[in-house]
Amino acid sequence: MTGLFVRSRVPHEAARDGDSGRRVGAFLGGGPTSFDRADAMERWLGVGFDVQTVFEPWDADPGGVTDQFDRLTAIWDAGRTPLVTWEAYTPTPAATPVDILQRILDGVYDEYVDRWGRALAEWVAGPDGTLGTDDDRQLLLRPLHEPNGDWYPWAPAASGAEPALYARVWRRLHRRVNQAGATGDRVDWIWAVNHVDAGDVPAESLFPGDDVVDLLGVDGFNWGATRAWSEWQPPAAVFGEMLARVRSVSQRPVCIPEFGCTTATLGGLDPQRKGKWLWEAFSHFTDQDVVLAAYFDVEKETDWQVFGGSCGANTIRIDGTRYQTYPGFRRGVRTFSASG
Amino acid sequence: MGAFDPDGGVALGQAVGPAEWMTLQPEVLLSFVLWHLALLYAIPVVFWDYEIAVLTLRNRQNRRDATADVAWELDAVQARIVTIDNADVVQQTVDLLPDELSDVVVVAEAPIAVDGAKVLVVPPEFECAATNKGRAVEWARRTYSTDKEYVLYLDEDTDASSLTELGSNADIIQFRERPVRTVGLLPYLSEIHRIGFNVEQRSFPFFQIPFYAWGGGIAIRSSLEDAVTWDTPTIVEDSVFTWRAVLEHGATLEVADVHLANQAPPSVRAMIRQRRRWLTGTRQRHDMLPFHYRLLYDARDLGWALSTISPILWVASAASFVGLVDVSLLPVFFPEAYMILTLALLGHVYAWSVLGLSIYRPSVGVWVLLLVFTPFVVTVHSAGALYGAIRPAKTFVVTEKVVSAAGGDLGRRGVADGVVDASEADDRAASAALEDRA
Repeated sequence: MTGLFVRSRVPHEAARDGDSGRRVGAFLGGGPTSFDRADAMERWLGVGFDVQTVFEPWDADPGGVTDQFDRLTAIWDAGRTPLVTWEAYTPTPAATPVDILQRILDGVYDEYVDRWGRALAEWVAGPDGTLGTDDDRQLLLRPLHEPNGDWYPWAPAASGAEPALYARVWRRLHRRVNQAGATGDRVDWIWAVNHVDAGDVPAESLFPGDDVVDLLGVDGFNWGATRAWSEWQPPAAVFGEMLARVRSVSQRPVCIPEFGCTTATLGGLDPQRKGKWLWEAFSHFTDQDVVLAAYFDVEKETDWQVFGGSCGANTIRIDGTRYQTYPGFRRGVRTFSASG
Repeated sequence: MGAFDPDGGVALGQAVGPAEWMTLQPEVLLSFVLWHLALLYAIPVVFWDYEIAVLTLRNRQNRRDATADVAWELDAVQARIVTIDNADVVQQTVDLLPDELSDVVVVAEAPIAVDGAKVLVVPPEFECAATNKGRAVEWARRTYSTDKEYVLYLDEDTDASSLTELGSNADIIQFRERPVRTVGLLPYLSEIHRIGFNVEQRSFPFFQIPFYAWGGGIAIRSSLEDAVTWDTPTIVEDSVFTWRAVLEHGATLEVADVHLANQAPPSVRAMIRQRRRWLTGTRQRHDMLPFHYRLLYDARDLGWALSTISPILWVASAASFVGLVDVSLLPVFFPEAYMILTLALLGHVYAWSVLGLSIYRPSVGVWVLLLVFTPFVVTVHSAGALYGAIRPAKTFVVTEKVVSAAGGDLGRRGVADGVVDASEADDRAASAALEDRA
């Protein structure tokens, strides 16, 4: 019932009319529970996520590729654009050869890459199988991420490969995927580096080129006092320098495909400080003209989670389930989405 | 229909203008007045019916939609209690807060000691566009940020012991009120009647703009509070804040079906001043509302103000209808229609009394008293509105609250001792006192 004096039933939908062009997303873990969490989190936030991040290995099993794209369909059907972190694990870290870059360049994985590219083109074309129609889908693709670290086998600092090899492999992947099937402008390739170089390979030396990159990404985390090598860092200290550096190699828009913050400080767990950090992070992203920010909402190395984690500042109960939350995150999401 | 007696003056069909009719026929003038009084009051009554219809329809839709159960626990709330310097009353209010609500702030105009709360004293030199209570809460907002999702504003005498959670994820959560008797019986009866009418509040979330934000307490999402701020001149802070939040930020509102108790005005005079402030305050700032809202506001205000004198006319109609007396107030112009309309209006005011009584569930004596005196209660309840319409209030006059003699049973018994009614002071004195504090 809408009419004189009576408001529309979903007020936040009207608010979305003034689209800022900024997008918010999150990695919420894998499996079906991630959808329940996403739904509950959206109810908390009062806005929907634009993007849902997933991590997908290179699974040579044909059924594995089908399963991957079925998961992406479920995300798309839930109203979110998948951000696929395409990890060149074959398919596990332990099974991945240390010279994976060279092997990719040598064509060892061409069959898999081509098959994946064809599946991607089919997926993007939507249910009618025709690109350029109303049911086309969209995807953000982040292959070989954080190459300036030393923890992934595709990172030259980890494998000892030449930095130029990384760029050549990227370009080869880009070419083969596009040759496998047309995706038009429905797939954005994200070149995402870690916020600091870990090792002796500077991020700039790994840039594949403007013609094969649509978005520049910087992953960054505030590890606080969780590690011997870490300390509490404000968002500007985490992201500021690397955002400037990636901008020095390209004028492409920048995004934050992964970010997170712990509660661990030298004085103990401090949810209030984390909440403030989250709010400041979104403010920093706005100042830096970041077009997408996707939170890493999983308790992996520490209590990164902002919704339903082991720690939090406030408690919300949704359908009987209690979730710890951080008001700073909600405030940041709303402000970031609305600012333009 | 048209029971005009041509023998009394101008013959039917004679060419005269309306002014001449009224001059020559006092009955015509009386008829005009009666009809206008009834029709003006009918506007808010019909709109009240519309609100209830919207509420009923939406509630049915929501049940069909099986909307999710979302609630915030009290660790997500910072309570802010605003006072001038009434330490004893505030202490009792703090003591009554649920244990889970551990973040409690008292915003005071003078240094006071309150156990279980952090006291923030507004510095005299602080200046902003807001005045009085608005100035105090604006200062607190600026200087004492919180990481809580919500800030819950309570009056210095609010009994929030019934609060267990915030049962909504709306940006503004309005709690319903349950004024309790302090001294005067008539203000108490008026409050029961008003709470019955205020059932309309439950429909506000479904309207573009809530008509007011009067209640037992109001919880505001802290991020929204920072975006809207209190920094605007008004004497009805909560209502104006809510209007700005909805109009400028698309804020959502829920009315929690939780009644928080606070004290009814201690005297008729205090109640009249309170109503006068409400009407003045909303009228002073309703220029920010869309045109159709302003029109409706004007009609509601006028109807409310004029209901000071209307009930006796409705009673006369009712008495005439049942044959108790022969009241010849209906000489012209559709007397049957007038009779039906006034009976409907009278039925509404009784319905509000019954609604209020069903919410309060007071003693049988109070039921009887209110039902017998409802027309008179309406008159008293509306007198402040009429006063405000004729002579708008110029300042915020605080009615000080009292400490329960039972020491903790605030809100459940009348208090005979120690009532300080600021309405004893006139506007000028109260204004001067506030300025002195500033």
